[in-house]
Amino acid sequence: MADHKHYGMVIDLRRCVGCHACTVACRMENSVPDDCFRSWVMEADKGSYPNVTRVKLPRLCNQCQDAPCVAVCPVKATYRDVEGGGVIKVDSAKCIGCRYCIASCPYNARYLHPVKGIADKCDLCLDRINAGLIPACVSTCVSHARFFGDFNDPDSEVSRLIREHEVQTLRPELRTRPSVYYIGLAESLANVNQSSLTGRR
Amino acid sequence: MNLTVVYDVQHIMPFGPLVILYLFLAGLSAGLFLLSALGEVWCWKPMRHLSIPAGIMALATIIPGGLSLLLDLGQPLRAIHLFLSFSPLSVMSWGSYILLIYSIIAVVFVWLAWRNDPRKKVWGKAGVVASLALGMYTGVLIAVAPGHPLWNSAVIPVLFLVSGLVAALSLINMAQVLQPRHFPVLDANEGGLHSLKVALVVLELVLIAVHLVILGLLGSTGSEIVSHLLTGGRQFSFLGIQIVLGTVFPLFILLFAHASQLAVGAAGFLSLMGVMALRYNIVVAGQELPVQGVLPHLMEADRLIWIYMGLLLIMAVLLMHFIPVLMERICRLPHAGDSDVEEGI
Repeated sequence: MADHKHYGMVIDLRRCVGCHACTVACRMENSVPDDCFRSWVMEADKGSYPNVTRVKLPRLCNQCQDAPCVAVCPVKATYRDVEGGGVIKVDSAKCIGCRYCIASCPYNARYLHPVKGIADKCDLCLDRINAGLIPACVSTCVSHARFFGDFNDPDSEVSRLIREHEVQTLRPELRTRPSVYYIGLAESLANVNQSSLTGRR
Repeated sequence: MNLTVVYDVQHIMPFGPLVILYLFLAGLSAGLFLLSALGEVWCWKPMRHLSIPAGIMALATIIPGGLSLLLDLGQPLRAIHLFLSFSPLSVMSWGSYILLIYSIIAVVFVWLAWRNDPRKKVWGKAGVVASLALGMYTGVLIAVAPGHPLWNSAVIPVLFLVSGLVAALSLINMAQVLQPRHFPVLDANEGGLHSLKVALVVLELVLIAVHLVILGLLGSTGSEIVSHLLTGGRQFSFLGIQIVLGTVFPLFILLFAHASQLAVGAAGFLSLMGVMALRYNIVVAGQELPVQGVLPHLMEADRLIWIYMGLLLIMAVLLMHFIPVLMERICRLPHAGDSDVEEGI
């Protein structure tokens, strides 16, 4: 077993019902300001009537092992908390609010806190984890679609899930090595013509 | 199979108007410094009589440029942290030192050039290195942000440098019309400046075309961005303002109506607008299309930012007038070369 923990998440898209309870729990737990999101669920309709299926894609910071946000930070305010399971954190005393990390995040997982003037993002509720709890979004998920754990522990539930299921990550071509894995992502987005994406507010 | 997004989160663009203004002013300043050094250090004849005013304008534009960057920070008072730590993998960390060193060199160079001190050549050469770094690092800064096909190209830093030089020559052209006493038009020398500007504008167009062709042929998000620029939401600001009004039209004026100084001055104004539009389009279009989902990212709609931008531009113009006055008062020595610059440019 590795010396340090490697916290991450597995999200089973086959179970997600799109209730957005994770979004609400995250906002309450972390006092996320209005119009900003640490965690949210994108929803889309795939296909044409009558053959339509609803695709749900929960989104959050991917806690990349090769995180672009860490590399670009000019003041080393964004860092990997090695003792804290490798979670990417923002040092609120150091951040100057230059937004370079926000521009460099390929997952749009960061935002500038409108009051504090610093970058903010999901830290997997590290305070809860250190207190022996699990992240708020995992705790509240009504369909048990979210799983949290230590990937360095082969006996953990998340390790078992990525061993037993075919998992995918978002934007693997960027080689950021996310710590958030999806079960069923390939099926959800199978046969989708990306150039014909249409949307409404 | 179609995918219709029915719910997604709309994000605010991280780089907004003040960053765009900084990219414009930094490029303009670097270009002006390079031109000034051509005249003052290497005694390039077409710039010889314009080198000190160009140096002063380089200084006058980088001050509000740096301030715009400062005002853009979420925590402006922590800007000093940039110089208390150095992150070698961060282009912004390098950039903050480049900006600091360039600004110091620009102050010293203009001061020495004003006093016709022979040490100006050494400082001028150091300034050329710093201004090349300043002109290009802004492009590198955005080019290394992953997941932005419009930015992720080695063309961008070169394009920023070339367009910065175009902006610098354009500002000189404008000043020759608005302030002929301080920016005299010497017919014997104009040919060199004119040819340089035409070559740079053509190079700028070629770089943009090459970048878009490569992006378009890459397919996927790259071709989406090209469509966005040519036929989508950015069509007016890209094709209309940047390309037609800000690049092609001034090029035609430079090629076919260069005998009229007024027309060349007008072309200068249009080119400046074109370079500003270039920075705007690259920064905004590079962030506008979402990496996932369909909702375009929004620009920060804070009215205060636009007021800051206006004030900073006014500050640049005022500094162009007051820096020479200030220097004259400090040194109390008349400039040995050009008496015109003593009372402000």
